[in-house]
Amino acid sequence: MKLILIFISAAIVNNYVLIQFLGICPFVGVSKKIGPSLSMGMATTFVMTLAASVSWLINHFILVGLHLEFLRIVSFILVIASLVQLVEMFVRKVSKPLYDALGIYLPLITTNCAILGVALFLVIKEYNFIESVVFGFSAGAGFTMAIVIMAGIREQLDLADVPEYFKGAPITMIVAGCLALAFMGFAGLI
Amino acid sequence: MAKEKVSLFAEFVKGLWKENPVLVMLLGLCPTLAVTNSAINGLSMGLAVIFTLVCSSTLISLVRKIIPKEVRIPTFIIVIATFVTVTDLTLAAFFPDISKSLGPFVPLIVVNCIVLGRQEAFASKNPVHRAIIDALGMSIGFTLTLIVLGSIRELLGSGTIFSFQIMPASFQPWMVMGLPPGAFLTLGLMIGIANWVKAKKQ
Amino acid sequence: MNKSAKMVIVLTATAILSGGVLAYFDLFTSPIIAAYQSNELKNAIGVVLPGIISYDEKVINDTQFYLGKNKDGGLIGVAFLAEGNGFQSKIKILVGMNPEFTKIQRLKILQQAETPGLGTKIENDLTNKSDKFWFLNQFKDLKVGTGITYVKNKKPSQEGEIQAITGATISSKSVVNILNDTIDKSRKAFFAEFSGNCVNKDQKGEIKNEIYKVIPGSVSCDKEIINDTKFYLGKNKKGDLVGVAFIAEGYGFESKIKMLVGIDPEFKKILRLKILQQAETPEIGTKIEDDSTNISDRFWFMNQFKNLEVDSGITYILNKKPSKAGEIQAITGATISSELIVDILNSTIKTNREIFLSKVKSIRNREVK
Repeated sequence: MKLILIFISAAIVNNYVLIQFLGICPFVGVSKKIGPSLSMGMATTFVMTLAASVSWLINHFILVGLHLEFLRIVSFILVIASLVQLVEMFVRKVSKPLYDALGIYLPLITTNCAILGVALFLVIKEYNFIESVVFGFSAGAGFTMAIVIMAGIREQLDLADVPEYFKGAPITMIVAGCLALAFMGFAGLI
Repeated sequence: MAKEKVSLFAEFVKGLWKENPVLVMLLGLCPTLAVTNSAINGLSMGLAVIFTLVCSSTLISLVRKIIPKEVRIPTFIIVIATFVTVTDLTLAAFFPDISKSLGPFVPLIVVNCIVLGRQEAFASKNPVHRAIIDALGMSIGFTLTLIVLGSIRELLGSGTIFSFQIMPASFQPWMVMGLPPGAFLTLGLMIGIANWVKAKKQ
Repeated sequence: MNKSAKMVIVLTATAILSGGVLAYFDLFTSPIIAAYQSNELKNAIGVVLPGIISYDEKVINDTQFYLGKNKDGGLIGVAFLAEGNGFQSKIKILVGMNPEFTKIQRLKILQQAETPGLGTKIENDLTNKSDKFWFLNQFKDLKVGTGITYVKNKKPSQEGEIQAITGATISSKSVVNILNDTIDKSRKAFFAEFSGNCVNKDQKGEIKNEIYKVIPGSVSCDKEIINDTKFYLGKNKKGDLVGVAFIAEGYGFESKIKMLVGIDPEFKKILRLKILQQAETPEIGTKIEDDSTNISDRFWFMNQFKNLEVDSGITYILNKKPSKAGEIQAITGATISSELIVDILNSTIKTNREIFLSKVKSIRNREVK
């Protein structure tokens, strides 16, 4: 039951992008078309779930076990960067088609604050291992949902008459604001 | 590499407006939106970034000739993460209230594209004095943007700026300003206006 | 230098330097951070236990309690930490209760990271112009006898009821659940100081044997402290409560008299009585414990109390055999000693009956729910 609550919370009610402000850079950068957005979302979800699991393990067994909490930031970011590198190499070897679809997005994910955010949040919320994995997956799902919706809207926007100076980032932000407003409606959901 | 002798002053000023990290280069958006619910939070985050960026750029620039190209990204990351942790610990020890308001966004400075971006684009390729000036310019530009955004959101969201009551008591605050939608909308408008001003200048 | 070697060296050096700098910083800042947090806790305890001058920290049954004392050293409040999961974050609350654990004095939220603008209203609600802290203020002096409950969208109308925050039901519910669970657990821990073990540290097992003597049929003994009073619960083989024992003491004619009273679980009938300590007038007052002049029954005085009905108080009579329920015969020539014993018993039994039975009632009420 708690796991379902975590999913709904991270994916919808406290949507990672629209409410928690994480992952904005790729959100703005990649959400021009639906196809790439979906790929980016899936790649991100995959990395987030993996990163959440590994971060929990590192935190639990090494950082807390050896009283090295002050090394958390350094170790997490190194782990995430290495993880992404490994995933990229692995995907390239194992499945070329998959690599073609997702591969190029992977390096971008490293500096995605959402990944480090997931890792840090699960420490703050003191989730156990299963909860952390679900949390990582849910955050990714929420991110994917937000980015795909945004891409859908932006594809429509391309056809609309946006004022000159608002094309690109500004209108994206404003649309995001409206989306965030909509998502806030979920707040009373549970 | 070929480089015009850009004056130090120009290096500094570019970060404030022409290449403003947030409004023009669209970097570092996450903390920009997250901590600008009040002017003081924006200022605090800005100061944390100034410290981190200046220190990192200085150090990276100093050792730029020794770092092999292949491992430069991990090295940058370790250096940045170290300074971020120092900032985090310092805040927690000496400014615990600020540490609590900024929350997990201080550690997230590590993945702030601005910091890593400047190391890659500038600090690793320039002498120390230039690197420091560039870092200062960029981070101060970032901070100023955060303060403006934070002030707007605080003013409309609670009627105060830096906790000084500005709006009259009858003002009904626009709650949305303190919440995510308000952040997005305000930033969007600011970037749009910045684009307009830039176009006008040309 | 060989390229790979250089890479490894640079990375390793960087990592070591980084680790070193951070370790130094951590060493330097962690005492400051720890001091800040303990100061925060101290201030918070002062907030949740109003009126205290000082507090003691005590761990009872693996639970950390903060016992707040007034200027005379009397216990006027007990505080403890309650934590659990809110809607999206861990919520930590410092709970200040009265020493009987029937009423919350004040609450203070130490940590929460709920949804900004909604869940965060549990800590302060900017949309409520008249009272930012209305949610927490509902818990001031809240009676929690049968557990806290909540209602939505209307003002609370019953004892122990509070109003949840509109749009932040889960956060509100979480606070209530955390409080109910923790108060329950803490109350049990607090009152069961050495539950299952009746050995008194200074009497080394003597008490246990005496208790079995004053509660016939008991084979096990649990100690419960209610309102600072020690009760020894005697249970039979099946685990049923067959009697309660406690110490009654007061001043006799010449000395302090200390007795162990074994009484039935309804406090209506003394089972047995045993004098633990007295130093009354030899050969006269001491007859309360051992009367060598009575050849048939040296302990006749104490034996009068066997199964004595005491719900309307004990009375005594001189120079005559007792004829009513609850009546005993005083010792000729040691009237005062006898009288004082009766007084000590009457007052102690009355007080302890109230203390014990009210606790039993509150446990029964909760279980009925």
